[in-house]
Amino acid sequence: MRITNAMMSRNLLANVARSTARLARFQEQIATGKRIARPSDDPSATARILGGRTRIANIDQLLRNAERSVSSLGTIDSALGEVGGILGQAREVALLGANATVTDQDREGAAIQVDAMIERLLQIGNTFDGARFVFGGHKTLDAPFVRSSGGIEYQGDDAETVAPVDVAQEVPFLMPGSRAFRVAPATLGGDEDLDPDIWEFTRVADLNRGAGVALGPIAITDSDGATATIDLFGATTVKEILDRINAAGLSVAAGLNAEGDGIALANLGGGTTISVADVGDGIAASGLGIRGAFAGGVQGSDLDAAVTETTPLALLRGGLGVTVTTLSIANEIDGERREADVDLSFARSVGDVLVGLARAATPEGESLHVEGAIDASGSAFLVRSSLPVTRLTVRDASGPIGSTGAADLAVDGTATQRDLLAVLERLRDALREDDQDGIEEALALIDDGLSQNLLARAEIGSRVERVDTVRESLIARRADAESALSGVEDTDLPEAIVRSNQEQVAYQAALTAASRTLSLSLMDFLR
Amino acid sequence: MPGLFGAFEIGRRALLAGQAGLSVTSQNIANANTPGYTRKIARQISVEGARLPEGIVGSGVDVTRIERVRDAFLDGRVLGSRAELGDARARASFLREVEATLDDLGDGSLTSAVGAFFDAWHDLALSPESLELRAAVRGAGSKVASLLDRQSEALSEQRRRLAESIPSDVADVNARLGRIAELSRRIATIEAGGAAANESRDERQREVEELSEIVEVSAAESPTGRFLVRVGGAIVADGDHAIGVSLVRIGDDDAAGLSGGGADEGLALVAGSVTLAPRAGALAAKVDAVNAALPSILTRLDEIAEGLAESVNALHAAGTGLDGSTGVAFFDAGEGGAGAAARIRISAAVRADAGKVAASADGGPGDNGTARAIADLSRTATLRGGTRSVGQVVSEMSEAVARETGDAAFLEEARGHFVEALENRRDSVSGVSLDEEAANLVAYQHAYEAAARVMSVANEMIATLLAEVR
Repeated sequence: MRITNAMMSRNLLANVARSTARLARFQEQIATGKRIARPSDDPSATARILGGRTRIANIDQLLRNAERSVSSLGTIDSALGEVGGILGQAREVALLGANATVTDQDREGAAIQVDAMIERLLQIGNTFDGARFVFGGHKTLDAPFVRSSGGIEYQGDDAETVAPVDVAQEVPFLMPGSRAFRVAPATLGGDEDLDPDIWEFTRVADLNRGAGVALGPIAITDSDGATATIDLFGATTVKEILDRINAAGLSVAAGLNAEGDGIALANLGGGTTISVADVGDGIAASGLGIRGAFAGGVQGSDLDAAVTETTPLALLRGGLGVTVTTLSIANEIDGERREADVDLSFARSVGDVLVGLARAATPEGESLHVEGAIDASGSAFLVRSSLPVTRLTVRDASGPIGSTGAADLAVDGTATQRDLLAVLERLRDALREDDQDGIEEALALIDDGLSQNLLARAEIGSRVERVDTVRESLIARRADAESALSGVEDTDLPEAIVRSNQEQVAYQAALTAASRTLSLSLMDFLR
Repeated sequence: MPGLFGAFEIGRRALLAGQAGLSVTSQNIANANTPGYTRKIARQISVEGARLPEGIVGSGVDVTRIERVRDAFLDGRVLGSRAELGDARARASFLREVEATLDDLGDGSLTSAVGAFFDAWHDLALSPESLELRAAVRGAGSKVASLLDRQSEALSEQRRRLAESIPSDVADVNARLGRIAELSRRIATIEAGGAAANESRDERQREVEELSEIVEVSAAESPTGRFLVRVGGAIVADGDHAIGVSLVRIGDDDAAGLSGGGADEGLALVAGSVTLAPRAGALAAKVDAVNAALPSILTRLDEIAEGLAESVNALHAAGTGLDGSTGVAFFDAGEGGAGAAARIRISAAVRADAGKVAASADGGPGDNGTARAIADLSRTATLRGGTRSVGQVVSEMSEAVARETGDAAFLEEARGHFVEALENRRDSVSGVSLDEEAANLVAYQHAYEAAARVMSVANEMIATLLAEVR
């Protein structure tokens, strides 16, 4: 190839220019610490950098959300802790007031103490964190607990406020006062013993109000004088007990007693006396209410079966039964009244009623948020709102087919939710009036309140724990995103410096070589 | 003319040939650095002579013509690749400006402003009753709106400036076409006398090549000897007649020039009544930028503005402000569509009162349902028929601009190398090598000395002969 002088100088210039451009690029990378200065330097890296930065910014925002949630949950938790303390004091005061030997003066002193507690609770309930009333639900701009003529009223709502702490993960960071200061939801019934009869399928474990009967061997001597020892151990239902007795070959016929609430042994033999006894240490016969010697047949005592979901409605009220057709239910949630006539005519058992109530909805399909339940003693039925801050009304619907179910189940009437302030007001008034029943009632409610308080604090604790878990994972993800971004965005300094030095050497070499060769010319040698 | 006088004649011709060679060599040396200069060589032949009894002895040397040393194939390649280089250079230049306007890696990028906007909604969600955080949300929204406005204004301005610079390029093209036609005329005149118009041809070739960088042309001599310059198939210079190129506006009713930024308006190049479709060249790249590239980026910005305003407003209007107001729009983007990015701003209601910023979905001041829903828009796909989130459209735009700019910068460099390599190859054929010329100089000098020696020997021989005769 012919090499001309123009080519040499053009190549030199081009090489030098390229070399300087590369040098400048390395210098820029070293000086800024960034691998790319403009998006076009590396378009795919740009996309990754933008994605990485957005990811980190999102995580930072979620971390800020988490931190603020934890701090506001902390405020709630310390307020709830104080509430728990006040309730403990209130309980002591109530116990003192329940003592009949206490003077009126002492009780008045106690009432004043309770008044101070109410005042303190009111302050806590109206905690203002600088921006909002934290216990107001969504009505955070007005004090949620307000004194009115009828006592202290909660005027907030029942809504939770949630903070996004991760993608599709939200944690409530406040707690409405209706929940934090709750004693019990609006509840109807729960105090009348429905006294169900027993039937063949009554479980032995449900007898004696759910305490059950310890079964073992019993000895029965029929009126003919024949004696048999029958082991009842392992029988699960009343029917099994009866079957085992009937299978013993004695002249007795086991069945239910006349009231339907116990066991009877009819005499089939020639004599008159049937005697039943426990064998050894057993207490089965006495537990079943049939121990002893009976003339003309055994009529066992009331076995006091508990109300269970399987209990047929017809067995309730000592066998009178309950006629549930249509209940008219109204539940005012947050001032919004939802009501419906709930058709329960399909119900044959207590469980059917529970199912029917849980499904209860307005004609528009909005849930009434009511639930039925069997009370803790196992003897009574209750209907309550599944949401706090409600006013619940249940009555039998009027209509051609009369329903007496609400009255029969003792759940008719109207109830509103009770909060701690109302309970303490009740206690104060009872103390002043020396109303022992009132004090007892308030004491029981305070205990409910304490357990609700513990539940609420446990809930707050679990929320904090959830946020902490999320925060840890966010921090880990942030570190990952950060290092991924750094790998794309940041200059690899050692590499850049080494390459910059190499480039300088190459640059110098190019210049030196060019200065030698460009100055050479044949002209110099032709004389 | 054999004999001694023949030798005289041969010597004389050799002296003339040596002089001619020396002239060509000195012309080559003189023009070693002239752009577009083609080295010349003096074509020498030995001349047929008289028949002697011993055979035919040539009667010396003759310089028949001075030739340009060129490779026509390389010339064609250079023409095409310089057009591509001009194209890539212009494209990279305007895309770099777009890139600087969008400044995607900087702190003031749209990505970070949109991110900060949604972050402000997050903050509001954590304290939904705060008026200060509402003002912060409004501030962040206003920043996004003004950024969209500024970027779309800057791009429109860039488009206007590009469009305004095009007429001077067209004038340049026409001036070059005029010079090419003039050179063609001169070449025809000179070559009518039989001689090659070497220097004018060099000059014309250089003009055509420089023209090709502005707008890709093809140049060829027709069978009848007319020099034709074509742009995308249409003839723009025919021999000594320059037809020229002119610029027309399409779909633009604004005399001030392309203010609307719409995709349906733009520029076109025509020669006479024929619309030109140049494949490459700086002018072609600029026209494409004005007609398509810049409007498409503007359309993206409009899409972002419109999508953001629509999706935020839909949620915002359903929410409740601190003062209980509902149905309030947060952004005001006019009727959307083209120019939305330039129009988007905070709605008048929110501008007047930050309390109208809606955070609550259920009306309670402590509710943050709306704030959370709007904050979630950073992830929710609401644009392009629910397939992209706002942030995704923004980063897709950034990536597209970065990719196009990166490609153009790469092409600029690659085609620069290619043109350089081609020019080196051509220089290798046509360029002046001073060493070679120096060697020629010495060769011609020695040949001249030797020819003079021949003359003097012949002279002595004739003198000897004349002395004997006297």
